[in-house]
Amino acid sequence: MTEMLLVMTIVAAALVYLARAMLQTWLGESKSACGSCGSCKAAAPQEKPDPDNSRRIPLSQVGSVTSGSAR
Amino acid sequence: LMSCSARLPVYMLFIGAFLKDGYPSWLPGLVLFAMYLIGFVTAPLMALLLKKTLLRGETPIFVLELPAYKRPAWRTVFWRMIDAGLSFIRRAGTMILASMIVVWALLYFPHTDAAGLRYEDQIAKLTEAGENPAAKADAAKLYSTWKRDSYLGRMGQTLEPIVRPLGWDWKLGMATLASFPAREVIVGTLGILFNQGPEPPAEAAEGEPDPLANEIRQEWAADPIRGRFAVPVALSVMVFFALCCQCASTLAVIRRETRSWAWPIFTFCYMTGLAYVAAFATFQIGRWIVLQLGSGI
Repeated sequence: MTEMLLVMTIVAAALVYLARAMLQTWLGESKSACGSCGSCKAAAPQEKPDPDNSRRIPLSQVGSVTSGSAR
Repeated sequence: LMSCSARLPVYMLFIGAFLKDGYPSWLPGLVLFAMYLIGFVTAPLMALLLKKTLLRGETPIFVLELPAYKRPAWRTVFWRMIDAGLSFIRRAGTMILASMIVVWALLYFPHTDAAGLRYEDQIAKLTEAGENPAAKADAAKLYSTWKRDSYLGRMGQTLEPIVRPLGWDWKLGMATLASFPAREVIVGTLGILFNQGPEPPAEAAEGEPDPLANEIRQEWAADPIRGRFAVPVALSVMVFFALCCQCASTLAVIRRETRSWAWPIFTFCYMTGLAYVAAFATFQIGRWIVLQLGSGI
């Protein structure tokens, strides 16, 4: 009887957790289902300062856009 | 429509189970690439179709500020990987665990038969009989009856006529249904559904670390449809997952961005319909090819 009560409590807790996760996802406050890869929540690590832009990859197309017309 | 990382476990599971052994070594990679290609091909076509129908009119100007492209620093890549991994375990892991508890409960209850006897006690009594093959077979049969009569089994059998044209059984149907809020739960759900019960998990073949793939293969082998047409069924599942909108967070973002309920409902309906039709076509064409070849591929 105690075992069954424990099982039912765990199942009820899981149901409540799922309902809460879905609600938070829908409201845009997700901490669980939404963005499960974490890419949208995890802060990007600080990069080493690179004042000379030594690691920059030159892109001719981007250069022409930024120095040329706005569109 | 573009394949995200959450679909990858489904592809890996079914490719590993049905398209690895006995096939050229390049085939699994090609099938995996094809699953991504489906998204690349379908997304522009759907965009074109929507542009010609629902979204006619002048295209609004799209401005996106891009950062300066730099060669990645290994330290940054490493910490980004650790952060994303931990976030996945914390966010998706808890969601998967909670979903698995609910799926397990739906597959466990009711745990007594019509006479009020506990299935577990009856199975334990049969397995205590030692290595008797007849008792073992009875235990497996009783376990199968228990799962079929569970709440999840009953729901699955009600749903089965809808998924039967795709070559699926109620277990695949229920696993797919459970994956609608988030695809990440599919492998765990299949793990619970394809658990063979009183028997220990099937031994993995050499180079095959996944006992779940073996269990699915074993169970399908005994089925007249999934035994003969295993590859078309596996492809149909993968195509469904490649095209279906099984992501509550995506729908939530669409609702917030469009400030309407119509777009998320439309997105969900058209993508589910598209996935169903594509999975149906995949299974039926694959089935036809197998029948033409005259033997199971």
